[in-house]
Amino acid sequence: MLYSVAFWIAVVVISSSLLQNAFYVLQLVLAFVALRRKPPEPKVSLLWSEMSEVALPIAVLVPAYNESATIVENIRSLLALHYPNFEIIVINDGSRDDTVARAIAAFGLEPVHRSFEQAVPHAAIRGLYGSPRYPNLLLIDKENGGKSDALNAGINLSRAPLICAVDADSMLEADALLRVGQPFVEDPARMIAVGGTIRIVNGCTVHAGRVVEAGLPRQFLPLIQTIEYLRAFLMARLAWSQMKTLTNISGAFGVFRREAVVAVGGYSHGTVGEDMELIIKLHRYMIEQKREYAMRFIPEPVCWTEAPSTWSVLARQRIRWQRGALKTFAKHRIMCLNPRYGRIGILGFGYILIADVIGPLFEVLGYFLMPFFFGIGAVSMDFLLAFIALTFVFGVFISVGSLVLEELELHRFPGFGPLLVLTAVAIFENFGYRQINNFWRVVGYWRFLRGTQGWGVMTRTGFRKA
Amino acid sequence: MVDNVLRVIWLVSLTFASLSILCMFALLLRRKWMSRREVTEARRRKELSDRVLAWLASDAATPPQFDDSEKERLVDLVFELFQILRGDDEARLQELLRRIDIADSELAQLDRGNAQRRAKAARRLARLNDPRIIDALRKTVAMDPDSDPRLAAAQGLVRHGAADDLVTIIRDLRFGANEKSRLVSAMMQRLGPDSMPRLLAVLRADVPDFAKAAALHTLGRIGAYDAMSEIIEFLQSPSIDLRAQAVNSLAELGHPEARGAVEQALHDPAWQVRTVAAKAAGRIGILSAAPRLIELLDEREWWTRYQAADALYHLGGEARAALVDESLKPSRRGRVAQMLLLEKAS
Repeated sequence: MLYSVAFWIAVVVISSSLLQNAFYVLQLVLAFVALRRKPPEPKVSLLWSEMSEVALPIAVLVPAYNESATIVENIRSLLALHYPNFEIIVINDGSRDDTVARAIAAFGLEPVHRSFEQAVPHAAIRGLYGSPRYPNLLLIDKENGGKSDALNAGINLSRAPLICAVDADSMLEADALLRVGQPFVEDPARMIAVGGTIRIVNGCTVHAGRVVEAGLPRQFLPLIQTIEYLRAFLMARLAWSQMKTLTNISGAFGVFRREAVVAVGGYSHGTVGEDMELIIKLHRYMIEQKREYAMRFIPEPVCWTEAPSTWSVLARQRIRWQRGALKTFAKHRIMCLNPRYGRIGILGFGYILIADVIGPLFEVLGYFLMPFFFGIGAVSMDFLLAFIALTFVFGVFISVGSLVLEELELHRFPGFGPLLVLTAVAIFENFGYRQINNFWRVVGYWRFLRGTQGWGVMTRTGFRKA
Repeated sequence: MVDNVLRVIWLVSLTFASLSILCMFALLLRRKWMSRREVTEARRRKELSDRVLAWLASDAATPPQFDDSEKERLVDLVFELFQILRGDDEARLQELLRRIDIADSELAQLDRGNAQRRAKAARRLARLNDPRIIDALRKTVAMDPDSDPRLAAAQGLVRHGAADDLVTIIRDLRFGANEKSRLVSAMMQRLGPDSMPRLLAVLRADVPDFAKAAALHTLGRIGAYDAMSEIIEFLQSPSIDLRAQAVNSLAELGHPEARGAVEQALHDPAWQVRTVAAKAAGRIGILSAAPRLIELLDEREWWTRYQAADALYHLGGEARAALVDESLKPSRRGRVAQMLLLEKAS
């Protein structure tokens, strides 16, 4: 009897893992098809000549909290973006350091007034600053309310039809807005959200707020995250975009139609996964209103961000991501496997259910149960080895597949050496790191169930300068 | 049962392991080969670029000689330079292209290449002079199964000044009812100042509304004062987009005769139209619209309230004084007036 129960538990755990991996393989195939079909990225000069007269104005929203060390350089880099019509709105979210003072001094900002509508909620604004020298720069100084709250303030103050959310510690490539704005030019009536690729800046050479030479991180954790990001963006996002079931656009870089964001009440307060929550809200609203809409992920516009390089910071980030995903899932659970919500309900939420809700629990359960069942003789050595082989082989295959996509599409790491290193990382991340990551996700699960709030502290080490 | 499950698991594992190893080796070998090729290609391109730029900087009328092996690289370079060079330099690059004679190969690509290559060929042919090009581009607009080559060919026809029958081109582009590519608007804007008759033909034709909106927009941009009565007729359109665009074009034209139409649009049932009408009233300077603009300070939509306040400010004189009066009142009108005045003061 015990053996039979153990056998069937093992079958359930393996089936869940298989289902999750089947989703990954499907994503890999779809991403590959998408890249094959995609026309080559046009040169910036061609994009500019085609779009300069019809590009929709974009307000770039940059929430900043204690960014004193990097705020000036980041604003300078954003002001130098190549786009015909854009405005930078920096939102100081009640920083405790001298973020505001540094920005004011560097850009000669003075108090200004701007009419705005309280379209979405946010904490009180203490002051607005602008300068005739930089007519497309506005600094909002407001009470602390969190990232969502800061973005909402930016949405209210913006007047452009498109808003672009960018993290203050991230760097956009000069042509990123042109590329991410292209789908809005091609399909302005339906397009409501477009996301681009996020890549890791650790190890890259940075000059004047621009990545001048891509390189691999020298530290172990950022190196492993390089492969994770390739998997998350070049594989998962691209595949979901191809299937018209994009369920997330990174908070570090995404462009949205302002009108649609306002219609769903802006960014939600009290959530740590505000980016995913916004996308799900947009899907839900559009489907319930029976409006035609489109969202896209395009791989070429790149935003560079710093990856955590210590175990403690990375753990906090992953636990937070898991809590965010679960909170969004719980809040919009009515959409899950609900045919009324079409592909998003069935495929999008089906995937979240398997990958974020059930997946981590079952995988960690498998790590403990399988050796236990083997110990009591309920499963044979053959079975245990087969389970381990399946788990690792799938993991390696998916990681190597993501690397193939990178090589075919972006090809950002120069030379043979970096590719060799990444290939090795694609194998070894499955032995240890993946298990630890799943453990963090289970911790995230636990904290979600306990209702833990807050973001935790992110420590930045800064960019390597040229 | 257990044996079968095990067999399947091992089979799947072995398949994916083999695939992974294969991919890794293929990837590394490809990179090794590509790295060498990229270095060589970058060096050759640099040499070529230096030669072309040196010739452009010199007074030499005759371009330097290039090998056949350099032709494709040279063509790529010239078309990139077209995006950034104008005037004499552009004309000299045209001459260079004429000498290396790429029309035949590009016409062949337009006919037989894949969709991406056909679109690229259409863009290139837009820059070349050859009597066969116009017909080939027309054929692409009419017959090509993909939208990118069709649009690129249409833009090419505009560039060649061969977009006489704009209505047919727009129909041939075969945009779906929900597609509203703004690139069509960009194409119309490149038609030039003498395009009014063709744009009016678009307004009268049975084409999608977004194309009519683009034509209205372009009429405003090119200052087509003679088209004002036709633009005003669109204020009766059932489409909100077209009514709003018509008012926008009147604002662009800025002609005092548009006064009646703009004042009528300030009473339009759609807030989007009232908003652009408020903006137009300020821009054209329609003083008689001031009472209605004061009323619009009470609108439900903030953007309409803001544009009405902005228009009153721009009208100046009594209209601005009325705005200041409103700003002293503790009401919604007062708040929007106050905020606008503060904004203008700063």
